[in-house]
Amino acid sequence: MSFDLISFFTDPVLRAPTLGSIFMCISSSLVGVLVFLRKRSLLGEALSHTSYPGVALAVSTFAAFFSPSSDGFVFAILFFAFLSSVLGLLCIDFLKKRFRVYDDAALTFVLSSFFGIGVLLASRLQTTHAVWYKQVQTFLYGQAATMRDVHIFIYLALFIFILLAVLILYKNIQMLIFDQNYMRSLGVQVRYTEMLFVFLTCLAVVVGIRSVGVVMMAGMLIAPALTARCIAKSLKQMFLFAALFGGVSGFLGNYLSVSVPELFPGTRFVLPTGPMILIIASVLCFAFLIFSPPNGLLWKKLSRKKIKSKILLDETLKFIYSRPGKLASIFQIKEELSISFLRAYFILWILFTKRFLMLKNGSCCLTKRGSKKAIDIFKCHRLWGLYLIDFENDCRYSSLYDLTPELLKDLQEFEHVKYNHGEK
Amino acid sequence: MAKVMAQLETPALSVHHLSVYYDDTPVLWDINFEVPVGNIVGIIGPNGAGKSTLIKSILQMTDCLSGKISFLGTTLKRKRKKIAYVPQRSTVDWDFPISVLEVVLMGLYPQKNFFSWIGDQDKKKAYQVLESVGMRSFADRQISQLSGGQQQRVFLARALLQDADIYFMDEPFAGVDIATEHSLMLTIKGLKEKKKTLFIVHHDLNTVRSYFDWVVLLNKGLIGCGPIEEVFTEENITRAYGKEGKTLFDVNKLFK
Repeated sequence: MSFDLISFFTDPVLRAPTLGSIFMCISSSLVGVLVFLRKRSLLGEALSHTSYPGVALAVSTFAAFFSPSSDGFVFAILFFAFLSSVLGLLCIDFLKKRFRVYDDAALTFVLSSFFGIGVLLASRLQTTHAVWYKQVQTFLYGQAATMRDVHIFIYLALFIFILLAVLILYKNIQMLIFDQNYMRSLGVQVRYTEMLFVFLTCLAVVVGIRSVGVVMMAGMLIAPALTARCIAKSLKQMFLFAALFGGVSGFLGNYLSVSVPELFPGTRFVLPTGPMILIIASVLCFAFLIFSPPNGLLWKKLSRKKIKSKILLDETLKFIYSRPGKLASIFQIKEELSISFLRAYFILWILFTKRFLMLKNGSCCLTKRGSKKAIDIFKCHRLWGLYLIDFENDCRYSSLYDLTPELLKDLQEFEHVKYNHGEK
Repeated sequence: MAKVMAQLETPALSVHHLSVYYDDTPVLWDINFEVPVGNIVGIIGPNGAGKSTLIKSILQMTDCLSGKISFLGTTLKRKRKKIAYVPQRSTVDWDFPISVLEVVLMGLYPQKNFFSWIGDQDKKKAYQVLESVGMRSFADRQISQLSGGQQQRVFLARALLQDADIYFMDEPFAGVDIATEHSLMLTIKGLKEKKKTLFIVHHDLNTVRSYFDWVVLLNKGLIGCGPIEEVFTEENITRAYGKEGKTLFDVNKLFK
C-alpha cells in the first residue's frame, strides 16, 4: 500500500489525522507566538500538564455511559481537560498573588502536582479498566492516527477562532507585549487582553493534546515561534512564519509517520505521529537557528570571517604602500597587523593571485595594479571616516565598496566643502 | 501676575487631594496643583519622590486611592484621546520584533477600532513625524538596533503622531547624549508654541531653568508648583533634596 501526497487529504482514513494535525499545529503556533514573545513559555508546559487529570477523570466517569468512539465522548474529554487546565491556572495565580511565590516556582509546582494527580487517577484505571486506561494514555503522548472526521471540525473551528482573535486584537497584542505602559495610558484595559492570552493558550493546549500529547504540547507551541523569530521582523511576520512552520511540521510529521514505515514492510516498525510532528518542528527550528541568513549561528560566523579577511587584505595593501619603495617583508606585515604567520602567508597568497603583489629581493612589492588599489582604499577609508562621523546612518564595512562613482564624487565634494570650512 | 492670568482660563491639568499608597505606605501625599495651558512643566524631585507615580496616577494607570483630577476642565475619560504618554525607556520590551515605522504608527491606535487597519495615508503621516525628529532614514530598522537617543526620538515621534493637547514624558532625557537632548528639547519647545502643555519628569537640576517655565517640585508631598522663578528657589530645593552636604553643594552651585 503506498500513498501519494493528495491521498493524504482525500483518503477517508488518512485525511482526519492529516488535516486535523495541520489545523491543530497552525493554531498552536499562532498562540505560541504570544506565549513566546511574552516570555512565558513555561505557561504552555504547565497548562498542558494540568489538563491531564481532567482527561483521566473524564474517561473514568464517561466511559461507562458513552461508547469510546462517540462524538459526545470526544467533547466530554476536551471539556474536562479544559476545566482542569483552567483550575491549574487559577492555582498558579493564587500561589503568585496570595503567597508571593515566584512565577517559575508556581508554574513548576502546579505542573508537577497536577500531573501527579492525573497519573494517580489513570493508574487506578489500569487495574480496573484496561481499555479505558489505554484511552487516557493516548492523551499522554498523543495519537493522531486514530483521529476521526469530527476532529477535523474541532480543529478547524479552533483554528478559525484563534485566527479571528489574533486578527481583531493584533494592535492590542502588539501594545501589550511591546509597551504595556503605553497601552495603559490609552485607557485600554490590559487585564482583559491578558486574560484572553491565557484563555487562548488553554484552548490551544487542550485541543492539541489529542494529537501531540500532554508531554510534548509545549514544544509545539514554542518551536514554530522560535523558528519564526529567526527571520521575522515584525509581529505580522512572526504570526505568518510560525503558522507556516507549524503547518509544515504538522503535515510532514504525519506524512513521514505513515510513509516511512511503508519502506520497511514486514518489520513491525512504527513511527508515532505526535513525536514525529514535534521532531520535524525541532529540526526546522535548529536548522533556522544555525543556517538562517541574518541571525543564524553559522551564517553570522561566516560573514564575520569574510569581513575580517577583507579588512586584513585592505590593511596589508595600505601598509605596503606606505613603506619606502612599497616594499615589505612578511615579518613586517605580521608585526604590523599582529597576525599569525599562517594568516600572513594566506593573505599574501591571495594578494599574489590577484596580482597586487610581486616578489622583489625576497620582499613583497606592490605592482602597478596593487598601488592603484591601495590608493583607492586610502581614499575610501578617508571618505568613510568622514561619512561615519557626519552622517547618522547605516554604515557597514561590507558596503564600503558598494560606493558608486556618483556617491564617491558626492563624498569627495563633501570633503572639499569641509576642508574649505576649516580654512575659514 | 502670571498666577492671576493662569486662574482666568481653564487649567490644562488640575489635581486635587491626590494621595497614592503602595500597600499602606503613602507614595504621594495630598497633592494639589493646577497648571495653565501652554507650559512646559518640569516634574522635579529626588529618587523615590513619586514622580513617575504622579504621572501614572494622573493617567489612572495605577489605582489612586483618593483625589480628583481634571484635564482642560473635564474628566480623563473624555480627554483620553488628547493625551499622549511617553513611557520610560526601561519599561519597554526590547526583544519584541518591531520596526521604527510600526512603533510610530502605534500613535494612531487610539483613533482606530478593532477592525480598522493602518492605511497608506497613516504611513504618510508617520513618515512626516519621523522626518520632523530626523529619523526618516531609520523607518525600516528594528527599534532594538537603535541607540538610546534614537529610540527616544522615535517615542517622541509616536507622541507627536497622537496629536495630543497634553503630553506626559517620563524621563525622556535619561541615558541620552547632549546633542539628542537639545534636538528633543527643540521639538518640545515647538509643541509649546502650538499651545500644547507638556509634563516632563526630569533629573538634571542644572538644566531646569533653561528647559521649563513651570515646575512641580515633589518629595512625597508637593513642595511647590508654579512659574519657575517663584518655585525653583534655593529654599524649596533644599526642602526637596534635604540638607545633606553634597546636595546642598550642588544646589549652591546652581545659583552662582
